[in-house]
Amino acid sequence: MKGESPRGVVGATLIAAVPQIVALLLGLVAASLLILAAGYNPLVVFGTLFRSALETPSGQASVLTYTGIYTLTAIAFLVPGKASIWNVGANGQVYLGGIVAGVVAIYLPLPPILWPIAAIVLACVAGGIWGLVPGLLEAYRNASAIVTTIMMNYIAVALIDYMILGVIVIKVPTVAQYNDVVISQGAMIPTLPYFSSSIMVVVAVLVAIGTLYLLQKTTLGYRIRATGLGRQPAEAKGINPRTSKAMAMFLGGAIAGLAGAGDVLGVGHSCGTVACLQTDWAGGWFFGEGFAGMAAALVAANNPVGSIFSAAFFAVLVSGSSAVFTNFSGLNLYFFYAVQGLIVAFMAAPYLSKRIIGLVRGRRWT
Amino acid sequence: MKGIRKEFPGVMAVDGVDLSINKGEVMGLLGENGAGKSTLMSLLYGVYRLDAGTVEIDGRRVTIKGSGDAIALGLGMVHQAFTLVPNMTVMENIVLGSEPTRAGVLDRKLAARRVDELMTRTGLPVGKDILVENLPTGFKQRVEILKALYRGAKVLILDEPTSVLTPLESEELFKSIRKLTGEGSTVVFITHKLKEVMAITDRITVMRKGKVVGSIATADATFTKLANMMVGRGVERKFVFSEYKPGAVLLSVRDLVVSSRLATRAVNGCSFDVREGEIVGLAGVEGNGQTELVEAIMGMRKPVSGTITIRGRQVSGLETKDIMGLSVGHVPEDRALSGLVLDFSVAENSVLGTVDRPQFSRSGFISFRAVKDFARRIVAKFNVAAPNVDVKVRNLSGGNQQKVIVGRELSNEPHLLVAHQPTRGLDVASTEDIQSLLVGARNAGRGVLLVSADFDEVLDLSDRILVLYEGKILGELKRGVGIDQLGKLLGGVAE
Amino acid sequence: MDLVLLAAELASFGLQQTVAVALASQGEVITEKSGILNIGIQGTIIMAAFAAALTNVYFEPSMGAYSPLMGVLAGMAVGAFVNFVFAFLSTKLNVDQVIAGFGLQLFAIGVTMTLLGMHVEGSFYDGTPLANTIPSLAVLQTPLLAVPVRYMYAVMFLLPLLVYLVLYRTKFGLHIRAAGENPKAAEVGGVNVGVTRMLATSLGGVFVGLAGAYLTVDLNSSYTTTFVAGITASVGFIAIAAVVAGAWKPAYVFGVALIFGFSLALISVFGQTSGWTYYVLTMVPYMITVATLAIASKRLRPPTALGSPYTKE
Repeated sequence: MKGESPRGVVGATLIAAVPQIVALLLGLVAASLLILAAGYNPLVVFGTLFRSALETPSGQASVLTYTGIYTLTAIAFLVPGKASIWNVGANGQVYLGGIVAGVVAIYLPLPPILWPIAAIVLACVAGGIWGLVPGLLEAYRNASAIVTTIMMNYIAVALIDYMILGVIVIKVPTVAQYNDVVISQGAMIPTLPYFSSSIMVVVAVLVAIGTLYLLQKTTLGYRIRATGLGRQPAEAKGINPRTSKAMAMFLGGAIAGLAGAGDVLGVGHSCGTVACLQTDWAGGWFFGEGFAGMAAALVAANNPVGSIFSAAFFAVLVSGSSAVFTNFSGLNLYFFYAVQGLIVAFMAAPYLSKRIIGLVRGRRWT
Repeated sequence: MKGIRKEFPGVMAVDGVDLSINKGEVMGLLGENGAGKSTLMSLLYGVYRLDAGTVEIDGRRVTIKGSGDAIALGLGMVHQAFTLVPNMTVMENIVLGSEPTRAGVLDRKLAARRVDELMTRTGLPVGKDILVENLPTGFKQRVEILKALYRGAKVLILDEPTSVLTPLESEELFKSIRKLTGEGSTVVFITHKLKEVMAITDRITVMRKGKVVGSIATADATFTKLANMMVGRGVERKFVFSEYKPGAVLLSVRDLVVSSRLATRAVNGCSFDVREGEIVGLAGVEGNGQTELVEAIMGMRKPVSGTITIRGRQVSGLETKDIMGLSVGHVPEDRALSGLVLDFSVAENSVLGTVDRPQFSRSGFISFRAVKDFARRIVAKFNVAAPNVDVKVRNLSGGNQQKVIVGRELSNEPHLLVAHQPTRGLDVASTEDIQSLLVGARNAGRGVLLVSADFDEVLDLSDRILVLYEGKILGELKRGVGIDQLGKLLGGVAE
Repeated sequence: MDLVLLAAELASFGLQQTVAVALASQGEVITEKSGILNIGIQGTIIMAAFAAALTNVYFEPSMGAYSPLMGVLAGMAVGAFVNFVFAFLSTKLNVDQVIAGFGLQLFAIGVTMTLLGMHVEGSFYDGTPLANTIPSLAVLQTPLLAVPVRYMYAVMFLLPLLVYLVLYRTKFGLHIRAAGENPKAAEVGGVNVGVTRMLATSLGGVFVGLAGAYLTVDLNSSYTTTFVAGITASVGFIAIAAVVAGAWKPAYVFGVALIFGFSLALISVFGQTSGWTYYVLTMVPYMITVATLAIASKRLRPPTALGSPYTKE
């Protein structure tokens, strides 16, 4: 913070990051073992993955796009986390944001700059509401957010399928007519120069920095953190934990909604038609964005700016994964989820990482 | 026990202790809070692991790796914090861990018979099928004792047993202890209360700061000797009180009724005033409604009926924030639970509750420079031992944490300060510091409501003493009264 | 006439859909009563289902019609094992149970689906149901009311009773409850909290695994990506919600499971896959779950030590 030597803060952050990095490495080691078990050389597999992600223009674009998305969903998880609510509903909040953005993009023609902005704002509001509902339920009715947010995910998927295939919003009675309904250029988010990715990644970085500022330097952030770190002392001193939790969930949902808008309106990801809006159970592209964000947040120890980097890591994993799938039969999309799961599981045991570090260093690591 | 050592992070709790206990006696283990008495016995009972030292029972060296071993060796311990499972019955709690079974199925009839037998033999009856959470404290303690005895404990260790009992319940406990030793049991009685240790024990061992200071037979002991051993200096504490000239009424409570979490009437018709420039001590054994009373005053609990007026304004129904805004400070009972956010820094804690005020933040943005200056002033003025204001409060000692709280409250210049058990669990030096701060506040014209179960503290500090018993004010005493008068009221005997 | 048929159909599908939730939730009751919060039972279910199906296929040539039984056993064993791993992590390594639960679940799903992708044997994997499954008994002689009865239904109705007996009438159950409410008290009383929790969670895992085995070997869902990501994917979470809504009491939890199961059945009975009604009905079970939690959670009291790791000093 102000007044502290910058080197001290950075140094402290890095030291705090070591157990997380160790856990990440452990996860990768475990993943390598799995690859070995499948009969492939882990180095070759990871090599393919990294090269595809980082050396091809499509890979690079993909990395940028997914970094943006995962950073946002990571923040969607960690802001409520600071108020000690588990927001596992980022998936659904992203969907809501996406569908609202799509609807605005298709049905609400507006003048040039206003159009995408309106779509984004409404998407954030929609995502925010989707997060607010479980937030209120936990804050005022003590209903576990973990379960309710997961349920909201499923409801969201059904809701969107209904809205698309159903009669009300999109009015597309049969599948064949999907491709005719196009998201016009005027509603799209601007693209980065040179890369085939939208500016969403830049927005995401700004949001991450903004979140850090919000948490540390505003009264709202103070109240959120106090609610999470010490609910009773905070309440005894007049901070209302319920409103803080609800606010945190709204913010988290809104940011996830932003990611959804990015999905639909950004060139890196959408294909410009309604078809891309439809999720199917086995995974439209939205599948798992919320969870990946959660994994990224955990790896970054719930630090907003750190999440940018961990999000980038997962983005690389995802972007390179299609190359892996084509080249190594048997390693499919679900393998990627397994790796993610392993890393998350290792994140859950900071104690374990610290012990290993301690062993390596020959003494205890605080 | 020889050469016992145990270290916790940052604290040498027990440092090279030798202790011997004789069969059939009541051994008193005396010492101030934090002297290491509970830890020593917990080590014996296997709750913690020894860092060094040996234990011998009946002349044989033993290793105790867990409570199971201790129990098998005939040791039983009744802790300060009850280790009962609240929503299981008395009987279930008593037999937990050594349940009579038939092929794994709980044999309830046999268990009931055995428990009845035990209760008659030891003269400690309790309703078997009542859920423990519905029992009054004295009975909960009884269940704890029965638990230990059920397991065949020959040596019973009681850790501060009277801290949660009224004087009458304590008398009952003493009777039970005498009965038990009459039957051949040995009792270790851990306490910091001089009077009790003189009343019930055969021998007294005094501990201070993790070491044994000495052992003497109770017959040879006097209050002064013991006090000197415990504290290492005279127990007399003198504060300077300016002339007692109470000013305007700050807090006025009339016919207040507040219910507790269990929907009983914790406060049952209370009326009193606190004025500027005085310390009003609300004395009472814990559990007589203090917590609920303080919560009602501070807006954390809505009263059933009655009025609370602060500086002329009716406050029942107001939010805590608003009450604080009326210039009321609050030092809460449990600093970790309600006074400080342990993982916040000293600076962040210094504005807990006041961060919205214009001097600290403008339209939602916090000025950390202002906050840190404020925190630094508190640290300097109130003698808080912290390297800087950015350390997490968790890393400070209990005494310093409490100083942060008191410092914060007083720095907001409240007219009324409500201090609830402000020195509980603190070492002697910190206790003195805090008490001086309270006296200083009173001398400066503030009103202090001191709610405390430390009767010495209440007697030393208060201008007026009100005794709270079962939710009612039983009597009012003035400064200078003796402990006997206070004791009677505490036990519920009205004048 | 129509109404009767409808009722029969509803009852039939309702029971069918309830089984998995009911079994899994009873297992989770035992686990949570001991203080362990296992969010990731969905992963356990998937793995158990996979193991059951695989074992069924493997034993088919040798055991014929009895191979599903092997599948069931395999499912139970895998369920116990996965839960045991989770319990081990939670008690010995003091992991954050929520994170570990999700991680394990994600991993479990990922691994099984990867293995699925790698094994090309058998038509089972591309969507065709298994050849051998547990046969159902036809009950009720009247041709109008033909509600097939599966053996699992009996299991499902008896299980809450069994769980109740174990928890409230045995020494082990007493230890479990103490470990979940006040582990310090239990430890002091001589109960080994860590071991008790691991045993309880593994035992819970047996029933969760049974639920998984049911899905493939009895209900005969084909094991594809639709299975993994579809409606069955929510069984684990609905089971967890049922435990909360049922206040951790076996009988109530079963009641709630029935409600949830029947709401899932509505989809099969009333929804046509191509129409929009399908999607609306798909939302219903989850909305009911959320609503139930919203109403019930306020007054509930979970096992006090739920989710908090316990360490001996």
